[in-house]
Amino acid sequence: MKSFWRLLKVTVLNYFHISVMQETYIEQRQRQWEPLLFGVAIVAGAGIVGGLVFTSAQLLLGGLPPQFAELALMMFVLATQFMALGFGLASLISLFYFSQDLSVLVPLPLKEWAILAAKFVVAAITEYLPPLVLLLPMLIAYNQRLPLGLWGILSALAVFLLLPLIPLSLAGVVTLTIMRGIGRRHRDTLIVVASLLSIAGILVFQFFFQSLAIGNLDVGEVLQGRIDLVARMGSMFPPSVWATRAISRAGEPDGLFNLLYLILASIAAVSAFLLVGQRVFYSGLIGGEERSRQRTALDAKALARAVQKPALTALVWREIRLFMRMPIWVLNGFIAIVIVPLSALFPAFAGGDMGLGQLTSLLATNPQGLTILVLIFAALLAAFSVINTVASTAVSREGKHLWISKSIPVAAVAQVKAKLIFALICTTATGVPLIATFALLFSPDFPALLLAFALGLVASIAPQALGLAFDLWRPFLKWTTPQHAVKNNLNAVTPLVFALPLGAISYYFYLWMREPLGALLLPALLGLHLVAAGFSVHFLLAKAAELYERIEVTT
Amino acid sequence: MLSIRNVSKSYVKDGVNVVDNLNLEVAPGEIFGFLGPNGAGKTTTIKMTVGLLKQDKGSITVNGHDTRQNPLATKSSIGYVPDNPDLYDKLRAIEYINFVADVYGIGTAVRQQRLLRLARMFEIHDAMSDLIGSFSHGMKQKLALTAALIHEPPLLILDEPMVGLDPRSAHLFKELMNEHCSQGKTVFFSTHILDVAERLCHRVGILRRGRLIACGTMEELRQAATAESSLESIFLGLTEK
Repeated sequence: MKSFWRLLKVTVLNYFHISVMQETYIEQRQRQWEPLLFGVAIVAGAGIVGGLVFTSAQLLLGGLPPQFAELALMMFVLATQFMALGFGLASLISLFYFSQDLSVLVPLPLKEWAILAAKFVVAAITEYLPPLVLLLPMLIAYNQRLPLGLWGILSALAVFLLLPLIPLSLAGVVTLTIMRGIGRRHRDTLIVVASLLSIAGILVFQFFFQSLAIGNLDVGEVLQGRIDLVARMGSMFPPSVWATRAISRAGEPDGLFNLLYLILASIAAVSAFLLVGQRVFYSGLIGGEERSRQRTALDAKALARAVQKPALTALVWREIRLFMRMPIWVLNGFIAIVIVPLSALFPAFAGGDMGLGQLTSLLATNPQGLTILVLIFAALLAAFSVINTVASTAVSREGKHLWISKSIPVAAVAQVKAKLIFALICTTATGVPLIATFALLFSPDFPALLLAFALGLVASIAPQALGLAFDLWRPFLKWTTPQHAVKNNLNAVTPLVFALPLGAISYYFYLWMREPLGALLLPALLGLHLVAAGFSVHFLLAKAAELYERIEVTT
Repeated sequence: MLSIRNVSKSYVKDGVNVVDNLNLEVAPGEIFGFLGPNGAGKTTTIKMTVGLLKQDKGSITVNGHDTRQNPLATKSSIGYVPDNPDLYDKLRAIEYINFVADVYGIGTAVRQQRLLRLARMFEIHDAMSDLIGSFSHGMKQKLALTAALIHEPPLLILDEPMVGLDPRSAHLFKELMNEHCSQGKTVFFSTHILDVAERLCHRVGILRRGRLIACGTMEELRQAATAESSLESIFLGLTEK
C-alpha cells in the first residue's frame, strides 16, 4: 500500500506539472505572474460559466412546480455524468495510451492495480471541474427553491464526490478493453474510434432528450404523480436517478437507500475497472509495443516526388501534414465542426424538431431575416476558428521539434506567415460543412452565402493572428503528449479573449447601424473586420522576428 | 570557419555561467572534437552556434557571418545534428528531407542525386517512405545527418553523434566526417568517446565548467601533459583538477 501512495504522489506531481511549477515559480522565481494569470482565468472562467448555470437553474426552477424541480435536478446530474464519461474517456486514453511513464513504471515492482489506481485517481481529480461549474450551481439554486436541510446538504456533498466515479470507471473499462484490441502503436486509430463514438453518443443523447420532450407529456398526469418522469428519463442510466433522489429525498428512507445504491454502485464500478484492468492491462501494453518491421523503400516513384518548392510552400505543407496526421489535434480543433452541423441537420431531416421550422418561418417574415442569417453563419464560422486552437498553439505544438524551425535558414516572418496561412486554410475548410448546412436548411441565394463566408473568414483573422502572436510570445513547449500541447495550454483560449471585444463591437455596430446603413450594413461590417484583420496581421508580422528571437531551445 | 570570441552564457539571470568567456577558432577543413564532462557547456556552446540559444556576451562567427547579426546566412552555412534527434514522427523520411531541401533552396535534380547517395550510404534507403515515428534511434540519427548534409554545408556540427549507434553506424559516421573534411569542409562535434576523438580529430578542445582548459592537436596536448600519453589520461587529468 505504501508503494501505491508513493506512486500516486509521483503521478500527481508529474501529471499536473507540480514539480515543474515549483521549480519555475518558487525556486527559480521566474514568470511568477503565470500562476496568478492562470488562477484568475480559471476563477473567472468557472465563475462566468457557473454564474450562467446558476442563473439558468434559478430561472428554470423558479418557473417549475416541485415535481418538475426534481426532474430538472436529474437533468443536471445526467448531464454531469455524461460529461464525466466523455472527459473521462479522453483523460484515460491520454493517461494509458499517450503517457510516456508506463515504460518506466511497468518494470518496477509495482502491482498492476497500483498503476491502474494511481492513473484512475489522477483522472478522477480532473473530473471534478464539470460538476463544479455545472452541478454545484444547480445544487445551490435547488437549495434556494427547495431547502435541503442538513441531511440534504450532506447527501449533496456525497453525491458531488461520488458522481464522476461510475462514468469514469465505465470509461476506464472501455479504454483498457480497446487497448487490448488496438495497441498503443495504433493509438491514432483509437482516438478516431473514440471520437466517432463520442459524436454518435452526443447525437443519441440529443435524440433521447428530444424523444422525451416535455411538451409531448400530459402535465396533469405528471403533477398527479401518475408518471414518474425522473425514473423515465433516468432509465438510460439508473445511477442518475439514485444520485438525484439521494438529494431530493434526503432525510427520508428512500433518499438514504438511493444514496446507498449510489455508494455501492460506485464501489462496484471502481472494483470492476480494477479487475478488468488487471486482466487486460499488460496484454494490451505488451501488444502495443510490438513494431512492424516492414519497410517501404525509396523507389523511383517516391524519388520523383522530391521536387523543389518555395520555402513558404514547404513550411505550409509541413504545418498541414503535422497537424492533420495528429488525430488528437484534429479532433480537438474540429469535432465541434462535425457535431454542430450534424446536430442541426439530424433533427431537421428526422422531422422531430419544431424549433428549426419556427426559426425558418420567423426569419422569412422578418425583413432583416437574411442579414441575421448571414451574421449567425459568419459568427459561427469565426467562433469555430477561434476555438480550433490551430493558430493559438501553432508555436507550442512544435514542442521538442522547435530546434528544426530555429536552425533552418528561414526568417521568422516567413515561418509565422506559414502558420497563419495554415490557420486560414483550416477556417476555409471549416466553412465548407457549415455553408452546406446553411444552404440545406435555409436555401439562401449565392451572394448571401458568399458574403457570409467572407465575413466569417475575415472576422476570424484578427483573433487568430493575435492568438498566434501570444503563442509566439509565451509558447508552451514542454509538453509530454500531443494532447497536453493543446489541452493543457492556456494559449489555446487567447483567441477567444481577443474575439470577445470584437464580437461585442460587431453586435453594437449591427444594433446601431442597421437602419442608417440598410443594405450596406454587411459590407460595412466586412470592412470593419478587414481593418481589424489588417492591423492584427501587421502587428503579428512586425513583432514576429523579435518574439521568435526570444524563444530559446533549452532542452 | 568557426570563431567563438569571449562568449558567456547563463541560464539564470545573474547566475553561474554555463559557458564562461569561451574563445575558440576552428579552421576550414578541420575535424574538431569538443570534449568535456557532463554539464561542461558543450551542448550550450553548440546551441548558441546554431541559433537555438542566445549568448549573453561575446560573438560567434560562422563562415564569416555573425550569428546574431546575420542569422540566416549563418544557418545556411551549417548542417546540425542535435544530441537527441527529435524529428517529426508524423512525417515520412522523404517528406522530411524534402522539407529541409526546400528551405535550403536545393534544386530538384541535385537533391534527388544527393538524397540517393546519402540514403544508400547510411543504409536508410529502404525506409525513406516510412513514417519517422517507426524509426529506431540510430535510424533517426542517420536521417538527421542526411538532412544536415543535403545542402552540403561548409560547417557540420554534431552534438554527441555516436550516442546510441551500433558499431556499424558509428563507423559510417566516422567515414562521413572524414569524407566531409576531405572536401575542405569543417566538422565540429562534441563527444564523450575519447577514442573516437583521438583517432578522428585534427584538434580537440576540452571544456570544464564552461571554460576551455585545453585546446590543440593530440601531440600538443601530450606535450603539455608531459608524462600522459592517451587522451583519456589527459582528459581525466585536466577535468579532475
